[in-house]
Amino acid sequence: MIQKNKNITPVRKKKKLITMQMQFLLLALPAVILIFVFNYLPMSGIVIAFKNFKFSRGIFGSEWVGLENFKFFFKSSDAFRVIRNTLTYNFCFIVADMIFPVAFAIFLSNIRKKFAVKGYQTAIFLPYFLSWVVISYMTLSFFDYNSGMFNMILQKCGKAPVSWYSETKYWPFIFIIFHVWKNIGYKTLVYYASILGIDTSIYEAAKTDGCSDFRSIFHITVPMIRGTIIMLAILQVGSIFRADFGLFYQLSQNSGALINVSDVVDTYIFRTLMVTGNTSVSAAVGVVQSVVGLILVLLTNYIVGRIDSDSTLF
Amino acid sequence: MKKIVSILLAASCMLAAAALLPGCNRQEEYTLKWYFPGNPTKTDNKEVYAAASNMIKEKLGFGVEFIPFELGSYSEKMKMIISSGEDFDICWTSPNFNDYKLNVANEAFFPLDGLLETTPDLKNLLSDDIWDATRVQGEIYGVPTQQIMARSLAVITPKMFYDRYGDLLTKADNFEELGGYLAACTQEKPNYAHLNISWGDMLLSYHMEEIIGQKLPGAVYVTDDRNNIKVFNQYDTEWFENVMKTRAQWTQNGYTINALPSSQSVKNTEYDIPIVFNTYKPGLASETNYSYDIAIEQVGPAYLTTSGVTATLNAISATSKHPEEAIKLMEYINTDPEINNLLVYGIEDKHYVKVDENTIKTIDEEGFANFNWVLGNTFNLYVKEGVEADCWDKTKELNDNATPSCLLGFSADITPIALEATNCASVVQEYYSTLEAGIGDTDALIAEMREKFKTAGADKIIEELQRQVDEWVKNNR
Repeated sequence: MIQKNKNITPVRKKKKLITMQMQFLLLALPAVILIFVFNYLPMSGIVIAFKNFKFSRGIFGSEWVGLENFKFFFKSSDAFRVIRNTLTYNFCFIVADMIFPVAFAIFLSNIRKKFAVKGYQTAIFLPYFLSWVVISYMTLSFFDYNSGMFNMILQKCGKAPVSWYSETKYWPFIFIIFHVWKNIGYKTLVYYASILGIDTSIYEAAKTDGCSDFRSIFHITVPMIRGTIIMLAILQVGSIFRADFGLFYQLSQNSGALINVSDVVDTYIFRTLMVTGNTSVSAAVGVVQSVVGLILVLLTNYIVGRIDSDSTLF
Repeated sequence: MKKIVSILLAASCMLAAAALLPGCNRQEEYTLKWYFPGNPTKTDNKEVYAAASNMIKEKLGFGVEFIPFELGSYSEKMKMIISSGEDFDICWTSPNFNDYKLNVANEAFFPLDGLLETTPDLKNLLSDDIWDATRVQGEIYGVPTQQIMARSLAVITPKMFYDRYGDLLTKADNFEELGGYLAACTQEKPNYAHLNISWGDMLLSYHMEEIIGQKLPGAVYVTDDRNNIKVFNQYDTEWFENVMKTRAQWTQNGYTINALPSSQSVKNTEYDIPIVFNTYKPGLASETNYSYDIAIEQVGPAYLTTSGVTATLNAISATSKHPEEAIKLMEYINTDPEINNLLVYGIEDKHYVKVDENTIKTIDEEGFANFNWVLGNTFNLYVKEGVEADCWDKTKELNDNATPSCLLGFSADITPIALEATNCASVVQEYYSTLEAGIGDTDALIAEMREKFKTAGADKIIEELQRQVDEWVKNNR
């Protein structure tokens, strides 16, 4: 941000620049400190991934084992399933997170009553603050075999009840639906904000030229917020090797029968820790997640840059 | 800009320094820190623990900070505390909670052989057999709490059924033979039984013991000759097929509900009268918490196993600065009834009243209560009213008469088979809950499970365990 502003105001003296931006810098300071403390300082812990970590010897005193911990994950008989699930789900999430929040943001922007907008916003934002544990018990009241709402409805309609927690075929959809439901509020807000930033005179001009409201969505709104959509997508690609532990572990009640469709990298790490207590292996998988994420972000950004250099993240 | 950068740098240096420098060690006064599973929400915790700390201070010259956590979150909390390298002195550990062997393998605990020489009273409290069972790679790392150590299967059941059909339970010698009892109960109330199976104890009713616990492949017959112990995969046996088929039959017959997840279904439906399979111990009835009268029956023989002996241990942290004092503290709590009763039942006339010499009646359990099997010797404790007065004698007798398992004292090193164990854990997770609930096509599920065990490397686990057992036998003859 500093760099860009410098380009805009090249003639100003250095000192003046600082006083001018002082308030912005101060504003950013708490976040910068937090990121530094929680994201940069612990980075030295990456070294755990290459060691056979023992508590009593500490991080730096433990034995160096090189890539042994990385082999553990890739040699595992679960590796294929885990990687397949993680990548497929995350790909679906990225696509879904592009379509639904944008649609909702456009809906919101077309509501004229301020009060109603606030109401809807709060309603769709609420799930974002619920923990997966709470949600998992809500869903249990839907899916429970004996007393679940869905099975009661099925029985009322004269159909046989479904043992939801042991039928794998429903769960990919359930996971995607709940992911969208929980996260839609946050992204909708971002898109809504950037829609509000669009110059209204463009719409007026379009209307004068006889463009319908519906067409102006596709020809004005979506192209105008394309940058935001691409930015959020690139960021999400960065965490494609990471899975939402709560979603897959809690929502499925950790039901063993569902493991084929609910086992993702993060639940695998958890299981490894529970069985072996080996912190180094989980650290190694964490490093893999981050490295893959970094490479993918750079790659996507590069590809986006080749197609349209204005939409890149950096 | 420079200013900001320098402020940031200074701040980060300070933080880094704070992280690296160990806390200053004050010489004059210190308190020991003891983590254990208990009831952190009881209203009089502060008062009781302060009283206990004072009592210890008078006797040993230092105070103790007792920090109870909920049992349910104990393992996670301790994992955080231990991994962060926090400076504490004693923590409670067991095979299933705050995993004993794992912590030892990660060198989180302090070896106790040397220290125990200084506390002969503590050492003599338990037999050498029992101390040996706590050894990992030849060293003792935990002090077992004197309590029920023999392991056998218990069935907890509503008394109204027990009174009528109890003889069917008495006749049963293993898991499958319990079918008769279930059938009788079901006649009165169909679909009501909730089986909460304790897998390890269930195996013991067939004279088998799991080696690396928690449903992983690898078991032995506890009755094997010590010189000829054979490790096998319990999931690869005809026995496993039979048990699971019986289990599925029970579901088909309508003894149990037939869906996952079974535990939750029980809580919020009318199926709230469970039949629970648990570890048997005298006085168990007073610790369970049901809204109706229960009866408890021991099923099958009792054995002394490594996991039974190490079921409740207290270990000294490798980060402790006062290990000598910590072991003295454990000796005191294990040998002195007064402090032990205080820590379990609270303050006399406030939380309990004495009925006679050895019997008490709790009057304010909201104010204070603790598990009696966590901190110290249960044989020194008062007995609650309603529990057999000779409860501790009976426990001692059961311990003394239990047949020691051929593997008593052996504990496996999981490190060389960590990959295979993790693989197998996911296979077990995938199939076991379905099989345990008695739903689905049992034959097909077992066949699939065995196929997956092959790719997961179960054979390698058995091979490695056999090698470790053979080596242990050779070294311990």
